[in-house]
Amino acid sequence: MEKTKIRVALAGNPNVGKSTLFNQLTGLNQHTGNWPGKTVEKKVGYVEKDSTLIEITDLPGTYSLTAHSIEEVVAREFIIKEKPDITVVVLDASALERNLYLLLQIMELSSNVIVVLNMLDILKEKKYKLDTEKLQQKLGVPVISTIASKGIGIDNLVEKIIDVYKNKNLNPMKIEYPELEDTLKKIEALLPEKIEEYPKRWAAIKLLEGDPLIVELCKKYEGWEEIKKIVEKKEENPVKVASARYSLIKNILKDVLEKPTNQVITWTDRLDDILTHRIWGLPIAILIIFSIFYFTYSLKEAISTPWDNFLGLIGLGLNNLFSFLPEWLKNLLIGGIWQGVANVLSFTPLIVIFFFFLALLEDTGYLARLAFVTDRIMHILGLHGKAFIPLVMSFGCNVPGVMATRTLENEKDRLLLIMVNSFIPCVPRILVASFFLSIFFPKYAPILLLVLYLISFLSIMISGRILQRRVLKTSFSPLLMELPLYKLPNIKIVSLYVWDKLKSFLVRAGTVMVILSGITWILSHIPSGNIENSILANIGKTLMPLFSPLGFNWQLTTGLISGFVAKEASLSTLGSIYGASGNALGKLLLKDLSPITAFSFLVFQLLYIPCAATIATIYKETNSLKWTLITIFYSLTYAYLFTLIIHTGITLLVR
Amino acid sequence: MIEKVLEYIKNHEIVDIKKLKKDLNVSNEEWDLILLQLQDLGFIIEKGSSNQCNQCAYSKICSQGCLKSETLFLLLPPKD
Repeated sequence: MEKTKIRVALAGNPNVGKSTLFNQLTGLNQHTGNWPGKTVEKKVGYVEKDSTLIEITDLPGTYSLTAHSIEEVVAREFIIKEKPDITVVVLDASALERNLYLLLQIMELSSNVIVVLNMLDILKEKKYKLDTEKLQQKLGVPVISTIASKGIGIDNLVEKIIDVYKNKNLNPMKIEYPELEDTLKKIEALLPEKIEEYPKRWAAIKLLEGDPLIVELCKKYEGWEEIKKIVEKKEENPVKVASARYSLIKNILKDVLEKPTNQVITWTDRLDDILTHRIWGLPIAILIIFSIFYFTYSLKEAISTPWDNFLGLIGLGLNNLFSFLPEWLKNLLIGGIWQGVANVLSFTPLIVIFFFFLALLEDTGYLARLAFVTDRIMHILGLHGKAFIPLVMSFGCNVPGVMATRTLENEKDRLLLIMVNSFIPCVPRILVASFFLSIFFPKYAPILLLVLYLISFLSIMISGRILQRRVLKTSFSPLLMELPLYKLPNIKIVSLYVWDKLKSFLVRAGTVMVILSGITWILSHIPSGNIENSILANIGKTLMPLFSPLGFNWQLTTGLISGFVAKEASLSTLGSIYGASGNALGKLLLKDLSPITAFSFLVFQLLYIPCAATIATIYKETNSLKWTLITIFYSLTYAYLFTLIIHTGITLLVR
Repeated sequence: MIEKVLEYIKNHEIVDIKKLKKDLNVSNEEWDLILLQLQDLGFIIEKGSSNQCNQCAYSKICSQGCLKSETLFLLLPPKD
């Protein structure tokens, strides 16, 4: 006797135990392949029960049938075109809201549906109470409880599949859209009797939702122009469809699901009440940032003298080691290369301390809150809220900051952010600033560093507003953030973070800075060996008339030129020109420059053109030579004018 | 509720999802549904968290690297 064959589709969200259920049902009696023309795995299995053969097709796990992904298209097309006798929809009982969304969409396509409630154990863990009997009544389709992982409820499901197939005794609930029923009827009236295999009402709903596949399909029908007018008449139609489904799900669960009312307030909630508070959040953020600067400087002061002495000892050791070399080569190695590298290495304590605090902020979960807290500032700066993360990244280095602008979809938003990004003081710029500040303004260094940050933000604000309103004419879109939980920092993660940054810094000091210091030394000693007449000095002197209104001497001007390659190179260049490093260089600069000139230099080097690596990244990211050149020209012009105002203003004030 | 959430997002520019749930009295499960629906409508897209350094051509020569973001970004595309 030939067996009765029942074709069953198994649908459900990902991770609801659908595959486990499939395996429990079919055991080894299954085979796998791909869906025709798709790279999505297709699994078909069989269950034999008395005179019945049940063929089960495991559909890809999806949250919806909207056809945004291949999986959704496969699941939808199978239900519509293959028309299985029964569709078994597996629901995660502990997350019914989201799971019912898929169920309702399937019930709009097929009336032969059986619901399987899985993960009831998790439901119990959450202390939720579910009335499955009531749920069954409301849905009008059978609801079977299972714990697939333990094989509980599998036999019931098989019996129910056979029962439903034989008796066809289902009375599924009608899914209605109260505010849209009239519109749906109008569209249905304009659609032909057969829209391939798609149900007419379902196609009408999909047209209101703007489903691209159905819209494309219906374009060929006679009534399309009329349908288009109806659909486009109200922009809020898709929202109304979504709202109706949401209300329906809420109504279904209202009397079915009982949740504990007392919400657990975590210490993350308590901390966030203060740290992300609308009024207190920002002052607290500023206080935290300032404290980091303060502690960084205090600790750095304590460590830097012994560290400088240590570097001095290495210098002496190298001097002795290379005593057999000709004088010019020894000078190149010690006075040029080592001096430049030592200058950069003298910042090691600062790097370690700064990144230690940054790692603490990151690992505790506070750094993500900064984006939230500073959003209002971002808008004052004329930037998108999303600009925060690329800007924060730029505090480390402008290169990843420019790359991180990819998170902005709008090209104009991106371009704006890329252009103002270089005003963010990266760590190398801060290293140069901290060196000058600790020499010229030792008592006020942390405050003046904060002033430099404020200048940077002010520049972003001025530029952001000008560029946003006048040049790029952009608008902003909102941002949603899932903030991580607060946690105690893990010393291993913090140490690894600091080591990672330090390692990159040391590698760069040992490679790029070695080459740059060597080149700078050579350019500062040829043709005559006298720095005053060297090529480097001549370049600096040629540009002097341009920079003298800012108070810069040729040495500073030359330092700025090499700073184009890498910001910290301006210090190693000054080291090579003055033939000293660390505190010794500081003393020479103190003799040569006025505090106003030193501060003006810091302002200029804070704002002027991004380094070569950043410019290369800007070109790569914008794919436009025009915008790359505009960015360079804009930042250079802005830095010049701003510094001129600062220098002239302070000079007049002091007089 | 979908309209309320959209209104809330538009009024806040930047939204802490936890605060939104609290302000609108939305449970975690309800939020999952709303999120799914908004994504289905194409109103928001998930950006996820990322460590940009992995994709950065200059990661080997850059002395500072990126700050790893642990945030999940869900962005509303601009409505032209």
